[in-house]
Amino acid sequence: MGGKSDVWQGTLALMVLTTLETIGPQHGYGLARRIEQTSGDKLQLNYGTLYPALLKLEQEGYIRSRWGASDNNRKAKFYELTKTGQRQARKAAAEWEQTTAILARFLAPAQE
Amino acid sequence: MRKLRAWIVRLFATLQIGHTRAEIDTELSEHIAMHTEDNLRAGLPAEEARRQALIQLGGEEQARQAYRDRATLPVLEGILQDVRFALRQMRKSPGFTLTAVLTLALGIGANAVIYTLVDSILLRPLPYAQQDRLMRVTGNTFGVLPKGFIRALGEESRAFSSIAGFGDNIESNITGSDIPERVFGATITVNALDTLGIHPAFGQFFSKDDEVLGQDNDVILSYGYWQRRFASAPSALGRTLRIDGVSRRIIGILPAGVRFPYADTDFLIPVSYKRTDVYDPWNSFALHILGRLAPGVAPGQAQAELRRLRGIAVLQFPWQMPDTWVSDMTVVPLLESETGNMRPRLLLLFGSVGLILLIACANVANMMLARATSREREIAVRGALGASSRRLIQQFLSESVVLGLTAGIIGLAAAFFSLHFFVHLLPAGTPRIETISLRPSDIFFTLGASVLAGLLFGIIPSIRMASLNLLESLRLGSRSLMGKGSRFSASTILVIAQIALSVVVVTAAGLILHSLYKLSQVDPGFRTDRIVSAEVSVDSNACKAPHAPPQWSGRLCSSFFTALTSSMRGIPGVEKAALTDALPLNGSDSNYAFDAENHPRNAQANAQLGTSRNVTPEYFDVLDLKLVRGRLLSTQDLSGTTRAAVINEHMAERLWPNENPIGKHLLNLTDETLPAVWYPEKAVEIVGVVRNTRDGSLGDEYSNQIYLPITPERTPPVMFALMRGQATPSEAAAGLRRAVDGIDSFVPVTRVRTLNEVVASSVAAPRALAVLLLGFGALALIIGAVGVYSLIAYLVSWRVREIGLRLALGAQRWQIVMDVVRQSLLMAAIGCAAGIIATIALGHLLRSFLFEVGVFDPVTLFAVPALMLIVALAAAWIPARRAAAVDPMVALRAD
Repeated sequence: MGGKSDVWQGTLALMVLTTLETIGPQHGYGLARRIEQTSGDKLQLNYGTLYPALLKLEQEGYIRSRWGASDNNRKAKFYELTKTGQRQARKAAAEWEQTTAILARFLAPAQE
Repeated sequence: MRKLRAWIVRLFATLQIGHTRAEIDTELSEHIAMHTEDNLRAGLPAEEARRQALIQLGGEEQARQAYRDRATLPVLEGILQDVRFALRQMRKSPGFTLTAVLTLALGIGANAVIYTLVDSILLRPLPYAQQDRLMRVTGNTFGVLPKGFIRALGEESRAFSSIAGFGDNIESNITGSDIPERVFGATITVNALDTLGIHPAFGQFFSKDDEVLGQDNDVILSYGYWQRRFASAPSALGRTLRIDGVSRRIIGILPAGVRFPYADTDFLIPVSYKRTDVYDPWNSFALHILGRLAPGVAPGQAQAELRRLRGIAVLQFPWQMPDTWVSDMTVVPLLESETGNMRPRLLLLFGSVGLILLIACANVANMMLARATSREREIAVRGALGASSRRLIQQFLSESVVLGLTAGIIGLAAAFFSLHFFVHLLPAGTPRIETISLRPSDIFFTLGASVLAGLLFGIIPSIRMASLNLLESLRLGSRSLMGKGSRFSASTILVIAQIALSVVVVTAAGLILHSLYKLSQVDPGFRTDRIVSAEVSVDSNACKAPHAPPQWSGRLCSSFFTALTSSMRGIPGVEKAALTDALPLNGSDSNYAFDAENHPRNAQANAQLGTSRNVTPEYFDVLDLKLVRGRLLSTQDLSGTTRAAVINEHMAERLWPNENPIGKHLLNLTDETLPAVWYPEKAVEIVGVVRNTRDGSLGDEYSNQIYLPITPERTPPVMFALMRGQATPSEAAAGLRRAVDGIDSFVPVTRVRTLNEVVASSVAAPRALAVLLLGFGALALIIGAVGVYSLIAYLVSWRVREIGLRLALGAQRWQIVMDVVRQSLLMAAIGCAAGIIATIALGHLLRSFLFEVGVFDPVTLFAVPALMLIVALAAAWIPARRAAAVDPMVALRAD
């Protein structure tokens, strides 16, 4: 299991939003797998933390959910972005990029 | 914003917790199933596939808990759980629940009603813009002031942005197209409504033009009168009403809910000035002052300014006013001035219902303590299973709060339905009585009080239950033979406190009742039985007859009442009849400022004051008013040539202590042109002295009274007919109506009452207070008695085995009865002593309500403890009988 990172605090919501923006409506399990795939299996995601995070986003109005059937015909709750969620996804992504860019400037000289 | 949204979503999820949980469970189990299937497909063995799925979820139960905590509000969830548990507990012991809830509901209901009265009358703002800036200004020597003086103050004042005046509430005849009506109206200065900061519902208010006599024939109607008389038709504007014979155009309607200046004032007419007459602004003392404070000015500053301005304004009088006249002025908020006299009474009632709620709380606390004993095992088990004592206390407190709130809702409902009845008990003149209603603030107060009450009565039992000794309680048959003495000390103290509080409430009620009795025993000084009074009112302008030549002035009125006097003699069943312009004990006597012979007065000093009434000579006979000296008025005096007057004993003794008052003269100040100058041709001569009668109210001291004959010059438009005889009030009224119709069928006959009713209504306020307090006293007594009963009954049931043993050992049954009764009486005696000490300590609060009764009133201080002991005896009786009936064999075998 070596080489895998835990999910950093606060980044899960951003991952959920951007993933949902890319793939459209998805259920919790599918979303979890997709996030792991996107990370190139570099991330160690505790699936149990995903659901409260989804709920928080839903309570805040960024995503909405409805019950539907999964590929193998199981009952599943599908999550999708709302209009404000789409805006939030772009905004959060921009903020994150800015943060990492700033951080990169600090880290660059150290590598020399 | 997002946080709030999330919070609301979670709140709703908490309320439908079952549904929320089901969804979470489904979603998680489907997640595990999907993951397991995938793992199987990847080639893992079945068991390992599921295990891996669970590991990555971080454990099923942990995941579920984290999910649930985010879905709902866990704190609220805990409270709801406690509430559900409390409701289950309440259902489990319906007898306890019913008694506790009813006891509390009585206490809370009484509080809800009285708080609604306090709120409606004292607290709610008046319906005017920035109403707290509106002030009533009163002079120290004179209640009413001339319009010129008020105008002068208004022009000079900087502390007030506006100063206005308004007159007394005066009933007038209104005729339009249909039958005449008696309607209350008042004069106001043209700026009065603007000072209040209100706007007309329709039309407009008075303008500067209305201040000029001749251009002032306008009238503004109250919203209620406009609804009643014109069915809310906007076309009423511009129409003409004849008010006391003067045609006035309706120019505006007051907004709904505004009752100004008095609750039943239905029309307003402007105060106007005669352009050329320099005396006109000053010779009528008829207005009260109302002012709006300028921004940033405090009432005290305004008062200081008025004191200074008084000296300037008083110089504008066309004659010199005495220095003492309105030498000081006070500024009081309008709301306070309207309701101030109700404040102490309502607060007294509020205090007594507060005590009742405390009594009820003590009662329920005791019942909970008793129940705690029977719940010991349940509590011990829960403690043993790991519930912390903090958690237990929280749960017990939730139980008592739920109990309190249930009682609060029932009490509120009871208050809502009984409010009308309580309002009915209030005396008719109560300020703002028409606005009394249960508003959200009252509901909020009541529910708040219920929660507080719940915490109050819950705290002792909760702590006690949570601190139980686990082991001892778990042991079966933990009931020791004697019971535990300490267990009941808290209960005993609570019952004693209950009795003490009941004694306070009942003693207060008793003192007020005793003073009401003393008041009712006061001899009014005149006969009151078999006398009917009715009001007969001629248009006031018929008496003034402004367009008639001066020598005719007053003749229209005078001839009407002269004719009425003679035709009243023919009313069947009426033996004696008289007319007067002021009924006794009706609060409507006129002030009579006068100079008396041999009592020279400095022009700077105030005149003598008394009350006068104009009467026909039969007045003394109808009321059996006994002559002391000289003669009574006679029909000869009615012509006015004799200038006769009759005074009362009090006045004769005060003014001429060792002289014969007969033949002395009085000069009414309204008859003098220059102050303190004696005009012999205008003075009246005292021809007789009669017994004293009570004037303003039965509790008042005697005052100077002057009886004057109704002469053509002195015939007021409104008179009261007094008819004595066998006729019933309706027969007498019908006879009077016929007599009036025979002269002028447009003159209304109103307010038919017996003189006994008039006298009774003069004590309406203290009687209402006594009735309410007695009711609350009875309530306190009942709740207190229930408290004593339940404790004694509980003690007896606890001691059954001890009693059985004593009986088996040869104790007599009467000894057992005595033992139980003695315990109850002892508690009552200690409670009484504490209650009486508390009442005496609080006595100064009661003093203003008492009449000829001190706080150390022996009758009350004897009667209340006696009553308490009887109640204690009665409350102990059934348990004592039960104790005596214990079968020793059964008792010893039990448990």
